Amino acid sequence: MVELHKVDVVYEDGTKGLKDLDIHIDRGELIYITGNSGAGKTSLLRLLYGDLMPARGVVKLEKKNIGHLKSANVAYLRRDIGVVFQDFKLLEDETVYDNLKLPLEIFYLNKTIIQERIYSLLKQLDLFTHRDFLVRKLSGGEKQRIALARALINDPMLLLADEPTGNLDIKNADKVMDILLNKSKKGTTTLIATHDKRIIKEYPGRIIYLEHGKLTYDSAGGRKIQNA
Amino acid sequence: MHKLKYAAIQGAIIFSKNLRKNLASILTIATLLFFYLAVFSVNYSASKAIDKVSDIKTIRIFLEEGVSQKEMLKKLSNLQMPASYKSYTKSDAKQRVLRLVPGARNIQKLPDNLFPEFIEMKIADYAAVNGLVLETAYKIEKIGGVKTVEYGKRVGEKLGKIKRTSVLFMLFISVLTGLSSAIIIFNTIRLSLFRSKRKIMIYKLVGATRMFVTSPYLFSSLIEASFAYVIAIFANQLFIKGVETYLLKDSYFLLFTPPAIIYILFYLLLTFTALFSALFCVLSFLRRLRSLNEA
Repeated sequence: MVELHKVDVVYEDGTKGLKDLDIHIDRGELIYITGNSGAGKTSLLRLLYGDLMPARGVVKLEKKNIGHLKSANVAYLRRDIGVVFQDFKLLEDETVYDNLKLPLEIFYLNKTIIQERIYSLLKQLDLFTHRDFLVRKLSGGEKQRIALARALINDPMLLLADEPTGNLDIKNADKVMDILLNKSKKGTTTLIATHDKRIIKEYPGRIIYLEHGKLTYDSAGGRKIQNA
Repeated sequence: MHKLKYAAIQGAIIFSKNLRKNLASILTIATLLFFYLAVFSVNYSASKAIDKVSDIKTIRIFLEEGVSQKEMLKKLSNLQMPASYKSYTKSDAKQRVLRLVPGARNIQKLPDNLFPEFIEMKIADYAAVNGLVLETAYKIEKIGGVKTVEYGKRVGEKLGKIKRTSVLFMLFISVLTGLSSAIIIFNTIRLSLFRSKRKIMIYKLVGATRMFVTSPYLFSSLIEASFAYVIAIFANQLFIKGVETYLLKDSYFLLFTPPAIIYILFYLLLTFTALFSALFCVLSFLRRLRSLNEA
């Protein structure tokens, strides 16, 4: 489903973010991208949702080359991808409902359909009673579940989560991981950039280890990458 | 159609949400437009008055020696102009000068034959417009037996120059007003964009197209321009009424108000300016917008 072949990413200041990356990901896989700070975890996610362009190599999603999309086409790519951030990136002064409305509005859906989809998802995530709450009044765990709901509301084929449990306590982190695992089991390919060794241990998945932008370990086949 | 409706509703929401903060800008545009319309109304009125004065309805035709007035009247009637004709003999011509210069006693002493015979042609009011007098005079000059034609040419030319200058002046302030309105609208849209920066970033993250983000701001600018224009039109009407009622009260002179089509044309130009300005503003904002990841 996702293929990266000899991919380099170079930042504006000229430093390399990712180097010679080769990764193949199948549909429905749950993958942890781990490594130290500055290893290139976030860059890999940004590359996949079209926020960074590769300087070299091929990036494919569903066999479509997404490496050098025009900005107009990046918008359409992102409709198939859900993204979650460590700091949630929600509109704090708006309600839960209004935050979840944003990804649906871009399809010009009518109010009734938007409402049905939001209510149904909020019920699944046990957040229905919070629908009219202002986001700034919610706890960190609740905010992260809302951010996750926003990423899931269009039923994406690829879910990218950048340190989704980074700001959460164990109980809330588990709630978020349960949702991610559940989605992955239903066929959504899920990539989680994380430092959290506990969740990697408790929620098993494929592990990709990056070091200075290079792939140094891939648990698919338990192989350690040569020449890393 | 659905997309257009959505953009219009969102544009109205953006406009109403930012109305209080943008009120000063809207009033500035309205004031600017009011000044423009007021200057335009006065200029238009003056220009119309110049037309009336410079397009003098009377043409005097002086004949060559030996050409009879009867013969000339026949030739003039061939022009089929809606006009009346009056023949002046040498004596009539002398009396006319005496009427025009009542104190000139010396003229009385001059013999009649020093005054040239001529035919006076008065073009009907309804036909004496848009340079028709001038055109007719040129035609008459070409008729055989005509020595000279007099029609207030010099006055017409002088006033014509003033009119051309005023047209240039109006063009200059039109460009200036258009530019100023565009800059103010650009700024208000930019402020609205900055207020919604995070929301726009999220829209981009979830796959909103450039058109989806841009179109509500285009509508918002359209509403803003229309709002300012309505205020300006209202103020201009008050100005015209005020000028006619108080300043021109005893002058037997009324302002020629521009026809409605001119106001519609101005509105279209303004909306085009607003749309162009907003489009440029949103696109340049989107181009410089950093990724949500870096925000």
